[in-house]
Amino acid sequence: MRIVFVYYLMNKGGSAQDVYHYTRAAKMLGHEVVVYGVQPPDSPFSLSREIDLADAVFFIFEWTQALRYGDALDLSRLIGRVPRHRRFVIDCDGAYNDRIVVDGDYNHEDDAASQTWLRVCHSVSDRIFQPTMRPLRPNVRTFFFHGYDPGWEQPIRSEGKEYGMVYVGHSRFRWGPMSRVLHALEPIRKGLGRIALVGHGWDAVPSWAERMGIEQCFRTDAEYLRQMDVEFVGEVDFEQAIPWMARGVFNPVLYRPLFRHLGMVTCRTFETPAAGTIPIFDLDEDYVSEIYGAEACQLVLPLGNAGEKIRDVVGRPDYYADIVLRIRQRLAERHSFEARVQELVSIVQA
Amino acid sequence: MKVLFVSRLARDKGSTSSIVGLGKAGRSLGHEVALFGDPAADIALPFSQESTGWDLVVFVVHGAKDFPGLPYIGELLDRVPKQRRVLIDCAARYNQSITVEHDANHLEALDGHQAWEWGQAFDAVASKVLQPTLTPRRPDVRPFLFHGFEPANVVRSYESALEAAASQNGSSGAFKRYSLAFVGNNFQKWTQLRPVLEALERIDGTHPISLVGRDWASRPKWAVSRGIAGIDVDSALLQRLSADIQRAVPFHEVLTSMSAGLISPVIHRPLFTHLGLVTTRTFETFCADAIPLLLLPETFVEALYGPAALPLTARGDLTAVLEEMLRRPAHYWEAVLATRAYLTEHHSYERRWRELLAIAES
Repeated sequence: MRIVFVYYLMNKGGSAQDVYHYTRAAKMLGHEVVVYGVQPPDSPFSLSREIDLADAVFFIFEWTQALRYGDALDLSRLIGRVPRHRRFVIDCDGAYNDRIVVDGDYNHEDDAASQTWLRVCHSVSDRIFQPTMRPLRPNVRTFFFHGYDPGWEQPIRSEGKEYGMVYVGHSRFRWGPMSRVLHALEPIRKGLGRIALVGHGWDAVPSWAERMGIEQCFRTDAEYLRQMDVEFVGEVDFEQAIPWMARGVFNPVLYRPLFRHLGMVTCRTFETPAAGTIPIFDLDEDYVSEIYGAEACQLVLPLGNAGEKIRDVVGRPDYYADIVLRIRQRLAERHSFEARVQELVSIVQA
Repeated sequence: MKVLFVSRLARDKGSTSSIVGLGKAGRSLGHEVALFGDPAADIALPFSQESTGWDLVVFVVHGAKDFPGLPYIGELLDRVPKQRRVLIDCAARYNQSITVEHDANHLEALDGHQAWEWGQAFDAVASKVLQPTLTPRRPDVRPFLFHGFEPANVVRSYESALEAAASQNGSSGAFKRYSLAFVGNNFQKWTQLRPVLEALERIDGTHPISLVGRDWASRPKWAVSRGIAGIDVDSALLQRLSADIQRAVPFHEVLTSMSAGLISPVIHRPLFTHLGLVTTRTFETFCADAIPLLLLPETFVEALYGPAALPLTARGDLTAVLEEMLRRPAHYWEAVLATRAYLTEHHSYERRWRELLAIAES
């Protein structure tokens, strides 16, 4: 089966890693996944503008519904040549909903933006999927989209690490959960070692955010970050995400408030346990249990005494590393990209 | 019949004037016509973003931007049956790649698209592809000139050529600001216009000229950076002619700008001349209060405008033709008035409307 992803592909953000592994896994299974667009030289991705041979086209919407590669002529071909029953939408950021505001995070600036987003999705397909176990809208079905690759797995060790804590992800809407993690660290800060935040928007609002009128999404507390002696590393290519995580004894897994509210999964949901680090979940126990297994709840930051939990993880890394190994096994069994590709094929054939 | 026109409706290029002309003709013949998009105060036709209830949807395409984005393209293509969708291909995209001089129908360096993409898109969007030429290259393309002549838009009507000549020129051209006024963007036009300007330079006592449109002041940076030839200027020549270079004007100011000159050239891009494609200006220029100088092949002129228009072509010595037009305009105005009558009979928008419906229903 040949599947085309229409996706705003960026090397330093979004779900580039997932897309790359869909291509790899599909090939292993005798299928083909390509991203719609012109193949740039030296790109690790597989891009094509050929759609006539496609069995299905998945429009993967994250922060935008625009095309990265193409314009309205491309849309005319995609819509006009691919029958509606072979078009699908995967709505990764929970935008296919009414307007929702959670702790300053939101999926749309206003109701009109929500209606426009819904209308665009409807204009493409009747079949909408979201990476959550609990879609709010009755016509939305679950498809996690993001996946796990056992090939990512690195040995978990805690000695000789450059950093005590590393977080890989942009600051957009994440200051609240990050602030919570950092406050939990305060009692053990001196003994923890270096802390690195890898991504844009942690040291300053990105220059383009003001132009887009979304600078408030990147709010942080620069003075507090300075007091906590946090180091800032700019955004990195997707291939560097897991190696960067591995440079820390532990990595927090934290979501935007909206994503946590909606029970979404993200790239980091699956990448972090594979890195040579211990994931610490700033997530609800029920959610962690469903995704990672009941034992993983031992890695959840409790509401009270979060600092003690981190102290315990850092103090008994081997104990927690064993839990992580079992998490990996579960993810490999249930959430591999091979499994995802099979799910996609089933969706198309349904 | 309920007809929706879908296009970008750019104000200073493209075919907005023709769409409006055709739409008004349709309404005058009792049909319900709307343009796709948000209402605009400068266009006296209804607008709609509805995708259902149309008997015919007409896509008018010069470039990729003439297709609407999501959700509209999805709604139109999924909800309007294909047999009710036609597409007017104004720039010969629905052909294999053709290059004439520096001009081409597929400029991938400009829009990133190759010939096969245009072909696939058009096949997907419409059941019938129409081109504004009498001689389409492809057997599956229907000839439909689309652009037309609207007698009501004639800036000034005359009873006779002598009256026209007197009002234009008096004895020395005193009533007109420019000897020549060209309105159009400088895209693949310089090679045709340059000999005209050089000829004008050889005539003593001419008034300045005006060039109204994009990229007449200098070769644009985007053309330089992308290596696109055919958008050139000779600044020294323009300076010697006291050229008044003005920015592009919206479609409803075109005739006023043309009418500021005694002569207004009709220039087709080399590609268009090669394929016999017509444009809005092909007919619109005859509405201006100026003598159209037809820089087009004679056989094409005769077939399109009728034999009376032949004196308006640049036959023989261009300098002599221009000098005659400026000094003794009555002869040429006779051709203009006769051609206006011919255009009214053969190329009105009402006629176009009937042709369009006949093609759509065929």
